[in-house]
Amino acid sequence: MALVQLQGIKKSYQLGKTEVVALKGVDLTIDKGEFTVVMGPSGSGKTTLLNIIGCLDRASAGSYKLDGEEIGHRDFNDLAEVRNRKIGFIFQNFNLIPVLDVVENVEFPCVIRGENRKVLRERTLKIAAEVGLTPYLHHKPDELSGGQRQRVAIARALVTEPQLVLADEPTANLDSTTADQIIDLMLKLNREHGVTFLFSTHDPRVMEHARRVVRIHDGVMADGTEAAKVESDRLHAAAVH
Amino acid sequence: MFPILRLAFRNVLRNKGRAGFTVGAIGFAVLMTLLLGSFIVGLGNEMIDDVVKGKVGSLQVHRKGYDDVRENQPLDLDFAESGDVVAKVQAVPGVTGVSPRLVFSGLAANGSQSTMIIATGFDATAEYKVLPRANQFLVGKAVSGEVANGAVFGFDLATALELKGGTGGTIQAAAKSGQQNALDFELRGTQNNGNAFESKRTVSVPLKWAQELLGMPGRITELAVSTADREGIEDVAARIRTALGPDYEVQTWKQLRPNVDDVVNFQRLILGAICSIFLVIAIIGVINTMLMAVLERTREIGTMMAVGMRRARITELFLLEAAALALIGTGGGLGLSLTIILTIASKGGVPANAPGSTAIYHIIPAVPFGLLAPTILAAFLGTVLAGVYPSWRAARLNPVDALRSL
Repeated sequence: MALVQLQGIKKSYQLGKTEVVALKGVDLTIDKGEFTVVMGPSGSGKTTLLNIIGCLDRASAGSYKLDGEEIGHRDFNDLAEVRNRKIGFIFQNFNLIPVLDVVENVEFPCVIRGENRKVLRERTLKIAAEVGLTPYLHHKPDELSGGQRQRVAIARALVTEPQLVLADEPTANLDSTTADQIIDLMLKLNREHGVTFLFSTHDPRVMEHARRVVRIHDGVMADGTEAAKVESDRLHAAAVH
Repeated sequence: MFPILRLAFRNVLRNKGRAGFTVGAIGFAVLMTLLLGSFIVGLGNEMIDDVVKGKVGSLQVHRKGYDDVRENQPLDLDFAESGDVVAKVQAVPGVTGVSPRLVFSGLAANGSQSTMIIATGFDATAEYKVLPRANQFLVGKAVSGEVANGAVFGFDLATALELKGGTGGTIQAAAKSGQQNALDFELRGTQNNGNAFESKRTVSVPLKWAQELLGMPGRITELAVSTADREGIEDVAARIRTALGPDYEVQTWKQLRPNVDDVVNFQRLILGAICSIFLVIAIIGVINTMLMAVLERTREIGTMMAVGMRRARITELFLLEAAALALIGTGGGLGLSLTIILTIASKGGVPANAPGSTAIYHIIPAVPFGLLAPTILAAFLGTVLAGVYPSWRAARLNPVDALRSL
């Protein structure tokens, strides 16, 4: 069942008197439970695509349906609500709030929507245990290693029980061992929770595990969605065996 | 604690140096306003008390038309010392004392030299009840009932006539009838309140002696009146006007000494201007701090937006940070200023000259209650308002641009 449906998505920016076209009409469908990688060279438009899918930015033209609802033209506060309820983010630089400890960082998206603190705390502790953060619950971000910080970011992305988790180069700032652990963790969460993951990455290890790889080049899908899916299925099968 | 409030307080403390500087600026503005205000109010109180309790009383009563020819010290606009007028004034609610006076001009002579004087005859008991500070700058003895011709001269006047305590001379004046009379006096003491005119020209004598000199037994030209409190003077004056009718005029100390009221008001105006400058400097500091915070935390703002924080909450967060700065700064400034004011007041104030005077007064700083609420409100609201623009800028950030920020 389709979670993300993009049709004819275009995005252009005005840079002075020049119009820069980042996306030239992207069609993409991502099903629930997928573990998908968007790949492409720098400037190809993959970050713009992720921003639009993550409701951080709006397309200049085209249709975007998330979980069957057209959300492409909603206002800022509506999109904030969508991000809060349906989407989790994992950033390359972790983007934790430095004055909050691990528990507070993880709970932050739920706190700002006024969730019951007791119920939330139970869920937070469970997720923290799943991602291996139990010994560090009251540590501040600057007391954690890169891998631990990314685990906090993952827990924060999952605590809202989102339908979609977007990860922008999540292993780029991690050493290879830690990156492997983080990838394994996300695969496990994908399998056990059925959360849909969409990555932007250059990391071949992430692509090895991806069930689907979507290539983008100069603002258009470099190859057809079906072709990409076949390729990713092949990669996935190879990885499993 | 409410999570956003807790976050705001932590954000304030994350750059302790800058927060300290900003809080210091707010606290300094509050401190200077209240400290300066306490001395201005103290000085104003001292100047008003000097006039009200030392010279003219809260108000004075004269026959109608006296004020128009006051400079001539007219004797024909007189009235009975113990008649209906005095009784009516004493009966007015709010009046605490009445001193009958006879004011006249004449010549004081030491046998070889003479000079013009303006003299006031009064009953010592009544006068010192109305003017408890009448003798604050007295050297020697005061006018009293004990010595019937005992006079107190202005210091410069006594010096010019080479008079010392116990010596004497003659005061000559035109009686009400126009006849020139002269009586001997004995110098009891001198007054030097720093006012040049009063020091060179004024003389105080017993009322009976003045009445004898001027051939006006039982007659006076003015009543000096004291009231229960300074704030109710206008009301008391209105009641006396009603009681006495149109044949008498009643003037409060503000009308009798308008320059003192003008000086006090001017001081308060200057105080307001100086305090506004302090406040503006503090507010600029807050704006700077908040803008720096927005700039430094742009990516963090982007992260908060990404996880679903609405613009209104972002604004709220930064306004709360400004409010936290305001709270700490205002509270600190308030506590420090009250401590300093009360400490100085408990040690008897600081010596200073009142404007227009060379005499030394002790200015006791008074907690400027009238200034407390406006200062706290202005500092608090000013600081929070200073956070409005930075907060608005933070909330208007585009999440994508904010996340891209270094």
